[in-house]
Amino acid sequence: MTDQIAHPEPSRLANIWSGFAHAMKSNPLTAFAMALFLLFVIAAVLGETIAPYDPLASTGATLQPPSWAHPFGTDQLGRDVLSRTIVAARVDFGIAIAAVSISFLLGLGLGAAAGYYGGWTDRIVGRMVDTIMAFPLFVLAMGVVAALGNTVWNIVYATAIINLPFYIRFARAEVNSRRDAGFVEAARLSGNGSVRILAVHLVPNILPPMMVQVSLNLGWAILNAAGLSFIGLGVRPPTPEWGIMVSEGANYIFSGEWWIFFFPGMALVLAVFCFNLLGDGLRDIIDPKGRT
Amino acid sequence: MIKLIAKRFLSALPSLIGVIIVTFVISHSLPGDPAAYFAGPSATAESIAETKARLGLDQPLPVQFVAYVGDLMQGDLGRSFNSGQPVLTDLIRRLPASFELTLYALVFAIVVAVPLGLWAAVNPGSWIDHLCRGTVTAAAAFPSFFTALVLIFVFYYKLGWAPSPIGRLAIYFPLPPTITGFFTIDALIAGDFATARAALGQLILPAISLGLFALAPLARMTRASMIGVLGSDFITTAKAGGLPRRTILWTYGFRNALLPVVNILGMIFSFLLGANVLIEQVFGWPGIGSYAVEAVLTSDYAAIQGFVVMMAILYILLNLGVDILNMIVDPRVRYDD
Amino acid sequence: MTPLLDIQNLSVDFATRDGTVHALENVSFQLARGETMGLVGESGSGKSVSAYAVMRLLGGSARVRADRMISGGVDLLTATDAEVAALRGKRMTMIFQNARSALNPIRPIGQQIADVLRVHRAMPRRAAKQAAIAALAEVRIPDPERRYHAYPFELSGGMCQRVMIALAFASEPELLIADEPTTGLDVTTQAVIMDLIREKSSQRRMSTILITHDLTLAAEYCDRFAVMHAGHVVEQGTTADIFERAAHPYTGLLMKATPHGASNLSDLAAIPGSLPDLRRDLPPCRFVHRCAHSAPACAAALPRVPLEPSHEVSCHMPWKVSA
Repeated sequence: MTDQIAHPEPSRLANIWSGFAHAMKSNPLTAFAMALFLLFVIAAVLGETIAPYDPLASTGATLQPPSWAHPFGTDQLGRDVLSRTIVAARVDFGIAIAAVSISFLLGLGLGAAAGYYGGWTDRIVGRMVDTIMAFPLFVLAMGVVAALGNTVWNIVYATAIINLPFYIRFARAEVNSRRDAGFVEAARLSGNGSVRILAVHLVPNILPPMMVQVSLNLGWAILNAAGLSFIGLGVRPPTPEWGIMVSEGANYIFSGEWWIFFFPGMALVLAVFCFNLLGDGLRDIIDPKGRT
Repeated sequence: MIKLIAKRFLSALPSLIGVIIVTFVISHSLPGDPAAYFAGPSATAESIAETKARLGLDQPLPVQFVAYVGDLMQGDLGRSFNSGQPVLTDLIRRLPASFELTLYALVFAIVVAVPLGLWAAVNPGSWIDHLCRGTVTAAAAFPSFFTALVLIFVFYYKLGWAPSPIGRLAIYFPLPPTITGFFTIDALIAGDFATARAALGQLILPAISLGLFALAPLARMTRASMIGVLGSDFITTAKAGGLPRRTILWTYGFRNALLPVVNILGMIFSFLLGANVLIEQVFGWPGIGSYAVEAVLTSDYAAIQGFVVMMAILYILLNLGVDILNMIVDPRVRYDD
Repeated sequence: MTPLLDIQNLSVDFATRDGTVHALENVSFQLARGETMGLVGESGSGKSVSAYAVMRLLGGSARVRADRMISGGVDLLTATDAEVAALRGKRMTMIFQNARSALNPIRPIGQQIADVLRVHRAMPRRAAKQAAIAALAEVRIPDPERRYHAYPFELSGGMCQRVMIALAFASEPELLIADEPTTGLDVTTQAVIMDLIREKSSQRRMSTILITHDLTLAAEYCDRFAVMHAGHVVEQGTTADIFERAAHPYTGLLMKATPHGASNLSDLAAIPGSLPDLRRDLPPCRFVHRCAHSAPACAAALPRVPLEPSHEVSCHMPWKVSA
């Protein structure tokens, strides 16, 4: 009996699955994005194993244009750009996924608490969000990394902090609108504590729309992390990372060696493009009316 | 109206206080001992302690915070280690360069995105609509620094159409007399068209790279909002009243569609100010963004802190400007509360 | 005398994601000059679609077919968009249900009226402003000079509807379509608005189509009625024909559900079933599944049976109402 009340949107998950298959068929772009995503995941997981050369070792020939042996050419130290671009996927995806996971979990917790309890909790969380949003976000990320120290983990934290407001606001609004719904009232009357109501009855219902946010956010997180390492924060050479590789390649534009900056840059573009398309596709599945 | 603007101004105060607290925390969690840093490499333990006392770093944190706020009120952002100048002086000297770049980028983004969005909205489902959607999604995926490099490679290195992408003006042009600080405008005021053209030439690539980044959200919002407006009841009334198509689309449709677009300008500014840092770095643009990058890389803490505070205050002011603009275009906001 | 409006066998389909909606089928009616016709039926019966079709305001997803569609001598089937746009306002205009959302929220109401005046009466700016103030005064909006500058959100719903009426009459059209003009207003305001519409249209010898589901209200203001059900006009005739000699079972049920001088169509629980799904293949008579008098003959093509010179019904079994 309580189970029935507890899950007022029981068909939602089932709908999402059937919607998923439908969306893949009806929207070839989403299917394309999904394939691209899998490709990136393979590159990130297997990395060195599938890279044709050692990403850190010189092959001897420096600044070679793209050829059959080196499809993306070689860089100023003679390293194979293709191998470095493949291996870099792990660092970039790692940073983005770690950062988004942190802001997702923290944002969900804080936002749900603010939306459910209201009052002071809401006010304090609200102030926090306003303060973060009062900064141009990339500038805040720069300040945070400068303050905490120039390391990869601090890039993760900085990216997590600037993404936090979106999750908090979203979770707060969703929980707030369901707080007084019948099924929550029923759970409360049958003696469930507020933490249990939040965890069992409210949070599962707001997860699907939040996944859209996650997907759109991953692209943005990658852009931010790459931007930070482009200006020399976080990831250090010789670690392969797209932002740094673009930054290193920039010096060779004026002598015409375009492949050093171009290929890692395109990898970055495709990764962001892929997450944005997936986000749009996901939104069509979860909320067909929300298309713009 | 004046009263309302004053009210908005007051409502920005908490954000300002938050910003000041955050920058204070950031500056006091900086790694390393600033006293040792300021005392110089040959410092002894005594001279470090003396510097600490001079800088007030031996005081308890709340006292330091009060001193910090006091300094801020007087416009004292500390002294830059790199330039030896007060940070505020450095920033003010460099601000016009950043402003000029950001303004041109914003104008570029609006001039392209709004017509594109409108065009797509008036012909939903057409090839123009798909083109708009495709362009927008692609533009959103390009990091501004990468776009900048691609543009430099194509238009400077390959085609030779763009001038050397370094700085605001090639050295063989005379600097225009400073009036607005915008080289293009100052040169025009001085009647020096060659310099104005050269300054504009330097601006084109960075402004486009920066503007492309803001294009996507603007075009998306314009399209969505115009589609929404064109489907609303009052447009049907206007049609039933026999108003000409031009009046319906512009006076009735476009003006209403503009309201949400004005509303997201705040977010657009956040994008632009952030991407500005990267673009200035790529083009050797002598603005506050490249100043900040240099400060970050050389651990020039006073400069970083000053930059962050200034950007945040600037952003708060810009948001205030957006609110006021909103009041001007939307009578309902004017009469609110 | 040729009617002002002549509609013969108008059909409208909408292409949607979930299939084609057959919103109207073979709708025919005529409207003489100076006449007021009530278009009544449940929500979703096609009243508004008919009106929008006459105004040519249906969107791109609509497919419109008809044997004849003439308004004021202009063939609406062959007229170009520009020609129809020129008719709108000048020849025919429309008043909508929710006046507040039907007015431009960020343009002063007076200017919205002036916009129409400047287009249709070729008035210069200043004269249009004076005429707009006069139009506001004519619909008895107090202090019209000041209200000229008011925005819709500053006015009550009743005031907004007055502005709508001023807007509709500003161009002195020959045909007015009023789509539920009083829904959402309180009862006293309803009467004031309806009297205003009647007064203005009879002064100008205008023809009016009043779309409503409030039969009691409609009976007071209309000369004639067309009753719609699921995209069909099931019966039409004079007010007396419809209220005293209803021939279609659906009209009969409508009447029974509306005791004279009392409630309105929202109490229509007495009509069994609901409107059929207009996306399906529909039987010739779309009322057959709800009808107590359906017979095997009802599966044949729907006839149009003239009962009296002014009275017509689309039914195989007319006059079963009283049974």
